[in-house]
Amino acid sequence: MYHPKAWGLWLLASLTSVVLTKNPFYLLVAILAVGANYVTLGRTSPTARQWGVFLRIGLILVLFSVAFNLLFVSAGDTLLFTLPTLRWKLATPLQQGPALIQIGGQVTLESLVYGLTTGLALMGVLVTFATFNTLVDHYQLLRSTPAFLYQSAIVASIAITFVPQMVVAQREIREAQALRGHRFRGVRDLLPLFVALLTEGLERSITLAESMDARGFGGQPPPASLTGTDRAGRSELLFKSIIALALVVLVSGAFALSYFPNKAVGGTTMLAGGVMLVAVLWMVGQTVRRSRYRRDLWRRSDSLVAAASITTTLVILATWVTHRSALIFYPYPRLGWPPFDPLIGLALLLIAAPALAGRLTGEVAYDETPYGY
Amino acid sequence: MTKRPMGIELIGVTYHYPNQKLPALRDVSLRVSAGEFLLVMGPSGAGKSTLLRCLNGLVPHFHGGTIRGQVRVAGRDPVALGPRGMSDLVGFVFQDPEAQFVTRRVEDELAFAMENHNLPQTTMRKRVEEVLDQLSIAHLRHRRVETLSGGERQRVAIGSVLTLQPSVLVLDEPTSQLDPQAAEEVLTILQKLNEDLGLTIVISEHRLERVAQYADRVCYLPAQGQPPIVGDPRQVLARAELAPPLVQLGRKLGWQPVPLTIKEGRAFAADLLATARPDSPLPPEADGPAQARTEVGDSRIIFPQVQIAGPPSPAIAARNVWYRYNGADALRGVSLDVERGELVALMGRNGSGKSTLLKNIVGVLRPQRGRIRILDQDTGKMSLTEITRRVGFVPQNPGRLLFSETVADELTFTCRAHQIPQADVHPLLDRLGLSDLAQAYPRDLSTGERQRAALAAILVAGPEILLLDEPTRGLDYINKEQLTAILTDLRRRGVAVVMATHDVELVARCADRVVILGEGQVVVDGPVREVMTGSLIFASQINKLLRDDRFLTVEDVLRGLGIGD
Repeated sequence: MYHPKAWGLWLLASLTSVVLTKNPFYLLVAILAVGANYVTLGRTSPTARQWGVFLRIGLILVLFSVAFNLLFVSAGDTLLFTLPTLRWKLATPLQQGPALIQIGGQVTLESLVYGLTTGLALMGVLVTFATFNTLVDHYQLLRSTPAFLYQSAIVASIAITFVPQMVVAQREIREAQALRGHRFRGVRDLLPLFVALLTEGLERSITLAESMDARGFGGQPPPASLTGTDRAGRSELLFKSIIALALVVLVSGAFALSYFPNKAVGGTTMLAGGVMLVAVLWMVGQTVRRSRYRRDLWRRSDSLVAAASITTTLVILATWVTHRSALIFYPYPRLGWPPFDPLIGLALLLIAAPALAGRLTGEVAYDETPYGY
Repeated sequence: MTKRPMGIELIGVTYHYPNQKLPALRDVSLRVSAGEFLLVMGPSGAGKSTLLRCLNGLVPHFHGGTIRGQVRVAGRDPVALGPRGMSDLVGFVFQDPEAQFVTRRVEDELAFAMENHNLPQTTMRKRVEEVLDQLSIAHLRHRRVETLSGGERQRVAIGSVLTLQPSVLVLDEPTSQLDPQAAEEVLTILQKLNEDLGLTIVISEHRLERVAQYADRVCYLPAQGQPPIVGDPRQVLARAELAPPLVQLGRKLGWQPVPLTIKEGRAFAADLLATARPDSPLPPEADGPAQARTEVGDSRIIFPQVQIAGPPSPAIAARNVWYRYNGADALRGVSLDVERGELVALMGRNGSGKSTLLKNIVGVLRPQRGRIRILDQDTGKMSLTEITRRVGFVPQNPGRLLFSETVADELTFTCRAHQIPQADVHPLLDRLGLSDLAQAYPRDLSTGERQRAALAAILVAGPEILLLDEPTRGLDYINKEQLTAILTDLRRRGVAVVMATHDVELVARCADRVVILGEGQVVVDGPVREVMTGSLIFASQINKLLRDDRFLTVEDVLRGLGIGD
């Protein structure tokens, strides 16, 4: 497969595209391009099943988004049909006058299209993560993270792999409990499921944590602690207090930024907190010495994927900065044809690069690991 | 880099888990010399895992609590250094082969520990190659860990700690989740490592018949908070309450020295057969192999609502059942009949379709082709609720069934869920040995207790068919004995029992019929005595010893000799 850094760039490109565009055509192109990678590369992956789960969640989100917009938004000129209306008046102290909540009423084509577009954007994010999850080995990606992020990154990566495991466990537990006569009718009936799921998840994570600890993860204690003094313990405490302090500074900066009119104060405080945090994490990273078993090979196909991904990212970002309206389609008040710029369309198609690059250079076959040592 | 081979020394170790009054270990003193193979045995909950975790500092570093006494492993103090500081000396392999992997690929997994120790790349490459060859897993090097079989996973887990070249290898029930073939693979590897590399091995294990022969010494923990008995395997096994069938037989017949391997037992067996053959009757056929009778006596277990009446039609009749799972045929035309009051063992390697078949019978999966009738009704026309009212199912991990506050609540919950009148649950709890635990929190129970609690929660509904998936996982001999008694009694009361299992000894003790599945098809279907005789994999220990289809269990032999009941 491709180099983890190439995959990282691809992830950036795909996410930029689905997050910054609000145009059903562009989103559709992006989703199809992402999907093409899964279809060509991912179907033989053992984790392929998750992809389907994510896809289903995505479809549910689209439906939800459409239904929400149809029911709650009555703006737009093209009337499809009219539903009976429910209204509430809410007294809102923060605003002048009562706010009006309305369900039903006029159902317009515009709100349908708007709901669909929002749903597609959500689905785009999900499908991107699902594809990335299926195709990329987290552990390989971890190797490319800087040392000071390594510990937190590995925890995050384990959390990511836990989700699919829990999806499987969830199904089995539910099955087992249903066989005992337990019916899942309401939210309260879910409690037994969560009890079992939580206990099992906890037991698993304890084993994993034990296994990592027993294999020396987190670095070796410095020689001082081997002789019995607790210098290591003291420096750990120091690091922890600095991290806590940095977080406090960061958060108070964020508060200042949103509540004081003078943005400079908040901005500087946040920056200072951020710098402190990075610095202390870097120092912690320095105390842990790890070696690397192998380096990943960067090949021509990786260059292709990287180039394509960078191009997509730049095109989308540049359009967003210069004329944002080209990316964002707004159906109200009267639905028009969403604009389609072939250049942007092409840039989005480049997201499918991983599906093609290997074939172009004749380098990639799935699951043959082109590792370098 | 040479390490001075030094052994393990524990002096007066007492350990309390946090907030526990009773110590998990009390006054444990133990000395293991370098290169020794030590078997740690004892009933579940006796502190085996805790003892093992003391050796690399997981106890107390990871779990908290208070520890007294002294631990020395190869000259270092795990209590002071913690698991990380011990990681280059002590390799630790866990019970669940799935939960202990950090990376996704075999080769990365092998390198993980070395990377943490900042070893130079050239050293890492050399060691990975060595370990791949030592464990014969070179062909797996690029595989993803999810695609490995249980035995392969456990070998990779062993490899992942061997790359640090530890002098001690500690394994916490490494074979309890494996089928017999895979377990054999793992144990053979361990024996080789012990002999060829002089690695000190400390292993805890329930199925003693597999490991006893390899052990130099045995450390027997009789119960929680009781000091261990340590000694030669023969001496300890001759006294311990838990013992493999061969040792039990040896003890009953007064064989000296007590044989640990089939080979050692052969000499005694030859004499035995000579005396037994002329007048030994065939075991009673009508009642099946009701060996567990010695344990239960003739008292009957009272299960509420179980009343079997009606025509003698098969309880389960599966015809040509096909089921496809993840793009592969898990069942390919399976036909199976189970009578009322019959106990059928479903055997076969992992992935042969045993669980899938059970799930098809109980209706969580529906056959894609073929038909299943239970108690004269087509399951295709029954809802899951209707089926589960008559069919009980105990899954592989019985903890998944339990979610109430107390054990007694679990039972009343089932009654409510099935809308059946709440009977007094205490006689049932009593017979399952749970009466003292009626108010206990189900998730605090030991493995064996949890399983009985799940069984109670199922049986309270009075199912006419009981399905069990791997019921003996993690059970010790005493727990298994209790399970055997319960199953035998249910069978006698007319309940049809089907259990998927790898446990040859359990099958020998209580099954009427064995059905072996292979790649989704019924390969063998026959009476237990026929199937379990003369097979390398499926024969029980006693049968391997005597090679006579009249003798599968200790009780068979005793009856054959006119001893026993």
